[in-house]
Amino acid sequence: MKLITEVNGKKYDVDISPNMRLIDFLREELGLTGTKEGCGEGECGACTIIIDGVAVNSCMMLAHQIRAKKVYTIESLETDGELDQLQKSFIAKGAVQCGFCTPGMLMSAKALLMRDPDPSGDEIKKALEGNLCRCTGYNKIIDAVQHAAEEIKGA
Amino acid sequence: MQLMTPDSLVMLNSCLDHATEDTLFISGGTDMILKFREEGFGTSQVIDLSGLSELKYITETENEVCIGALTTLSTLVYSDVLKAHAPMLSCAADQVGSTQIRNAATIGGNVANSFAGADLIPPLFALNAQVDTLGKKGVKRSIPVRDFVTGNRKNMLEAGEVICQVRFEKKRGAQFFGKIGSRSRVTISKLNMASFVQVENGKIMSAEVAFGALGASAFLSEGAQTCLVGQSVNEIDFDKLSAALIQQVDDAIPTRKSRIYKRDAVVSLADGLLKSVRSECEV
Repeated sequence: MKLITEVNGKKYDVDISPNMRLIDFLREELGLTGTKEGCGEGECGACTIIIDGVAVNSCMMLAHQIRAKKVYTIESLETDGELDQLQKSFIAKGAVQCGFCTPGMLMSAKALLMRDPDPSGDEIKKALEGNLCRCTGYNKIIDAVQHAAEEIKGA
Repeated sequence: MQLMTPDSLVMLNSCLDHATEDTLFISGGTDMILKFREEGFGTSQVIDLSGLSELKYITETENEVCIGALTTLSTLVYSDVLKAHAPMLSCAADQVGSTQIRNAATIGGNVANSFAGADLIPPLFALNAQVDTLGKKGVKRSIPVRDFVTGNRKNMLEAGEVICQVRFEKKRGAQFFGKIGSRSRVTISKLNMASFVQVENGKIMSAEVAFGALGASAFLSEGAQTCLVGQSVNEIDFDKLSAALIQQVDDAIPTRKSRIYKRDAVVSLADGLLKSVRSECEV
């Protein structure tokens, strides 16, 4: 079944199975393996991507549901070898341990900063409430998002 | 699996005419993908409604608020129309799942799934909302939500029939939605309650109090209504209201083990209801 879509600014016209999930399309068909699958049922947020400006779980959608939409994955954050400010802040604040949740955390945080460049601590917590991390205890992740917002504001 | 992807109502009409008893519908996917994971896709026919931008809206007329079935829960949360006319619906939407879930899940999906613990159904009961549907051969129906939901994951939708819109009358009144789950956020309701109370000259004229996750489907509490209607707001007895709600729990789930927990939990909902009514009177 034909799918025409745009992922990370690149247009695709592909023929894929109607029952393929979006995360499988991204990882297996497009080779965008930065997006992770954790629980596969919308609890952990490791598979978070941005569709038309909002964060969604790519494990909870069919690939065909992105027809005529603009999709951004973790791979889109780096531009010409330079990391996004959020990625820099995650490194600076030690917000990454095992790293499995990090792509999802970053995409949820990215969607938040796109909508609200100056979020409060509570707003950051709410934006990340669908992303589980079993290593960091969350404080450093929240610090990193705050740090990124401040750096972007000061730039 | 056969997937149909109508991107307009005209195309949807044609898809519905081909639908069978086994045809499944998907919009946000947050319930259906789980079902597919558990049961497999098989040879089912699936109609994907997510491309129907004609059904993504919140509008108001002089007397009514109308919400397109494909409106996401996040849209409900941030809607100024709902903040003005149905704050309890915004509040309920805000407490469903996570940000990612609310960005995908739709009001039509929440109602059509008719889960006993669904968070949008009690507010729609309290608002006495209507569910507008579209079926085969363009047949349209308008069903009160209180009749539409008939059990846990059961409703009046027939084969090849979808929800197009949910609408309710604009009325002034105190609104409250409260939810109790196993944690404060990203949780499935163990008990939820929505109330719409109309007050005139300090006296309660009507009280529509709906419970969810208390038995197979949402229902209106007659006990709460009897306890509240006719009372002066200043003289509402919190203990009597709590007792009426506890009795409602006992009546609804007399043999469930969760009854003991819910008898306690419902008292905090009584507190929220009462505060909403008192605050309405202060305005």
